[in-house]
Amino acid sequence: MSYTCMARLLASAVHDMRNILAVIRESAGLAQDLTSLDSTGPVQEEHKKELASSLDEVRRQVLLAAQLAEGLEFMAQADMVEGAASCDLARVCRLFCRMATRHARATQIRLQSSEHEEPVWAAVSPLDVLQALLDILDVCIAVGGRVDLSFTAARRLHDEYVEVRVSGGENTALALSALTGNPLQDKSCQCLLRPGSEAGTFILVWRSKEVA
Amino acid sequence: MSLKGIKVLLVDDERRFVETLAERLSMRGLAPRVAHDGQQALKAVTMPTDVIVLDLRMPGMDGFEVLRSVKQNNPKVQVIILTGHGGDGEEEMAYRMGACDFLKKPIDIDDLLQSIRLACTQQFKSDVFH
Repeated sequence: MSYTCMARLLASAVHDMRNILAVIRESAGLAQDLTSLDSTGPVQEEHKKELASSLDEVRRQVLLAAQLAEGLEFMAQADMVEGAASCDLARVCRLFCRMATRHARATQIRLQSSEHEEPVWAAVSPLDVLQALLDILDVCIAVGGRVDLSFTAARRLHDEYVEVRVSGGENTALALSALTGNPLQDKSCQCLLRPGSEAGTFILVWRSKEVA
Repeated sequence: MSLKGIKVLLVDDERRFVETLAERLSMRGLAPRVAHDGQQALKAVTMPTDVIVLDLRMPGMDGFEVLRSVKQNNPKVQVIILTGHGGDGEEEMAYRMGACDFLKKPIDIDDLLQSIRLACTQQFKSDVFH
């Protein structure tokens, strides 16, 4: 995985974190404003509802920040995992989507990963997986965005892979065309992206682990 | 300088953030409006506007494109950049393009109010001396 790739993911995550902190700050500030108001009757009831909604938002944003922190922690330990020979593909897909969400959204791509899937351990370095996922995102950005892109780790018999699904969005056909013909050949090393059995899907495999 | 009735346009794709900020500014006597992307912002700025608080990274038209268009068509409108993204290069570029302040999220509301106050003072000076 290149330093550029890592820097881009970190930049996206930091941008996201700043937005999360901004929402927390404004929601907490609004809660403070509301408690300082002298209100009675229906207005007081309305303020109570707003107060509860602001505090809910703070809680929701803290959860998002915790997910981002998990991704940042993963990157911080990159030197330790760089030589790692295996990883949980489901976790890497999840962390990638969380960290790259802001970057993707700015280019009108909506990223998604399956949230509650079982671990899918594969004999590939997690940094190689991140690099490949970022390269796939770049291919979609290059054709103009407006695409829903999802990554799902899966296993068939003893082979592990990532299913890449392109759906929704105005530029789906362009993205599908751009992803056809293994565009990662000159980018991510040791991996192969080939059409899946279902329309709109691709299978991302690493050369030592090709799915039949 | 009183900020009462100052017409502020808040432009940000982070809906929860911008709507909460609008409510808080409104509680402080300002008259905020909200736009969630660049296109909406350019439409909204055709109505009387004193200050725009503008995010940089938004889907579709980004903040720099909005800034360029505003400065071409409504040069008296002051633009404050408020972003979660931005290194020194972006800050310099924003000032070169005519932004009057560059702030990073998260920001204390009093600091934002101070920036809006300064922006209005600049607008007032520009009206008097030109």
